[in-house]
Amino acid sequence: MNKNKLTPYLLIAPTFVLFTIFFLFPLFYSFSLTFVEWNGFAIDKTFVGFSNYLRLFEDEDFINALKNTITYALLTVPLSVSISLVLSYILDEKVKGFQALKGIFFLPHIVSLVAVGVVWSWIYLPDKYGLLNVILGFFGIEIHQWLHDPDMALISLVIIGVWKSIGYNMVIFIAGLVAIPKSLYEAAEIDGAQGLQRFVYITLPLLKPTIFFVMVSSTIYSLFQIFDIVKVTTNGGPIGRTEMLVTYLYKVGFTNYEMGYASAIAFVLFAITVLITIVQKKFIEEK
Amino acid sequence: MKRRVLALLLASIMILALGLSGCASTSSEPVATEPAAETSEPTTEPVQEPVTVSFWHGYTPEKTEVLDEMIARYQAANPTVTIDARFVASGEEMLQKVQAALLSGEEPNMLWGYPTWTGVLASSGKLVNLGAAMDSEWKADLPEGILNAGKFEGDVYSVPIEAGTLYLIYNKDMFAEAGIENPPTTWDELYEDAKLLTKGEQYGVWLPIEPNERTSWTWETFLWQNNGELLNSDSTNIGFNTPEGLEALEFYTGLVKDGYSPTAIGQDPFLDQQAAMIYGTQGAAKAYITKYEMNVGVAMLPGNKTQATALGSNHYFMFKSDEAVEQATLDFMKWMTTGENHAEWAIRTGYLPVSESARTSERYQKFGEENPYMIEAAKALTMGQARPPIEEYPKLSNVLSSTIEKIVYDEMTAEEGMAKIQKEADSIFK
Repeated sequence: MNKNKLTPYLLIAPTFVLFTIFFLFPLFYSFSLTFVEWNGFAIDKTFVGFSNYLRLFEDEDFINALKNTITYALLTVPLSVSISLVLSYILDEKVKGFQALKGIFFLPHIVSLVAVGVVWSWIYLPDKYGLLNVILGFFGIEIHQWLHDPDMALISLVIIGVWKSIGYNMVIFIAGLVAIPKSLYEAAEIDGAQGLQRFVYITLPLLKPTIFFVMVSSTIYSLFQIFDIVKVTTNGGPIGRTEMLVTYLYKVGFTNYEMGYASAIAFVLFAITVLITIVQKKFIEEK
Repeated sequence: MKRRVLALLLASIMILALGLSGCASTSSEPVATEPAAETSEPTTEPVQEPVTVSFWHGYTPEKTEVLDEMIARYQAANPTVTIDARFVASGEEMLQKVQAALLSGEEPNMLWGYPTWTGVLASSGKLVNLGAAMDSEWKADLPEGILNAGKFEGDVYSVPIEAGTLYLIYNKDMFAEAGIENPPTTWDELYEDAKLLTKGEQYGVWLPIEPNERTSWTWETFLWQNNGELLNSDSTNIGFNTPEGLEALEFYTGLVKDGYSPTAIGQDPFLDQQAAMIYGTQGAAKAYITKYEMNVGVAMLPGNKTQATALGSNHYFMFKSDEAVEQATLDFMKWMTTGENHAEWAIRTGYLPVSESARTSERYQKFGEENPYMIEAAKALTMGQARPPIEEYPKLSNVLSSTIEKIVYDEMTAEEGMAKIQKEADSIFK
């Protein structure tokens, strides 16, 4: 009997060993770094206690990055979730070429973020140099700058973020939609429910767990992983308007070489993410 | 049941062993294979242990081709030495790779990089004090100013291999169109010419404002032209919180704010004919002239209180290893940085030669006659000022360039910007 209990542990052993080396160890190591001052090169680290955490409250650049990240998430998540929900609802109604369309929407998700960033930065080039401006100009819309305009830069990034995440969210929504019994819709139809009513009273309530999952994962995604695109397109500029927490911690760590402070930022980001997830869960459950 | 558990145990051990041996074999591979390739060539040298020098650089593919050719020639002359040169990363990204390598003990023997890295690299304790290792004849061949660019706490930790200065590159066609005969030589002329050259989507000059080293570097030339100093006399704080420094900051940002320099640029503002003048290196000028066949002129940077430009140099660093490898690395460095070899390197890559023996070599003299713009650049070299190789420089540069950007976008005035730089400098130099 005892041996039977051992088998599963042995089965996960190879993965767990790798997990420990490449995940748990770095996690604890970087936590220990939050209490030191270290440039990443020197042999000696200086112990500084909690001063790395205290410094966060006075760091204008950190507060700015926090503000930008939250703004980005607040804009991207609802947009992406609602657009993909509507699109998948339409696609679920047996549109012609359903598979091909699904593929097209999903494509941006599998393309490397760096490649996406480079291509978008060309599309967004200012004045007559950018593709988007040329196309908009054809319709008589004149916008001169995207990534270079302090007021437009973040919005430009939101557009990329939404474009990139729609396909992935759609796949999850379509799976959720398929799971809703068709008999419910038929019953509703007999009772005289219109298209919109069916969507609001049947689809939305039954899709709630899926919506929750997509919202949480998109929020975490836009908080944690909005890095590659920013690094390639704006690098945080202009005047720090697109600086995100992750790009800021990268700069602190690998341009300013302040490993301790960068680790402290990383752990604050971690705490924020956990907090948001708990709040979202509470919110959805109460509803 | 027992046998199944045993099988699983064995399986996981095997997976682990495979993983470990995989790691081990990749790190030993270059050492194992390359000397073997070496022995296939006929060697007449007396028995000497073969040595492999790993060399990380960030050269472009064209330059790498030249480098590989020269390495092949060096190896033919020194059959026991293999130079394992590889492209690792360009520019500042190299430092990040080196950092990771240093932590895992995988650093190269020889590294190509910027002298501004000296402070952080030296703090690892693994950098060889090259100033002590070089012979006096070699040291005398190199200009003191460039050699000192790699000085940290009194010791020289690197050998310069390439030098460049910023100078004014201008579009002759645009100048003719605007009716300007000569390039500007003073700030006032620069402002007037930029004004004349700006029309529609064309700007007079491009002064970078993005928060990066190029912006700081370009602005520093204005500071030096105004008799300002980047650091105070004992390098314990900034030295430009002065009327001269403020004037330089106001003039630079003023040119952009008045609309004579673009805030948003395409891929290359000079190539796109978006700007009539840029502050660039002789390497950029060479590309515009020979590769893109533009009608381009070059001149010294316009001065104000004095003439000055920024001196940039790339250096070779050496990391500690065993004596034979260090000796071979040093020998290869000397071979690359002096005499005819160095002249060839400079000519074919477009950099300015650093050593006196290369500049006075027959080969370079002849090249200078055929390419007068290189002579212009060499002249600028004597007025060049290097950035201080202190540990704090990268942070200072960040503050500087991001403040310039904020001033241009009207987030703050030049005075407020200077106050902000001073405040941040106080915490950087604490």
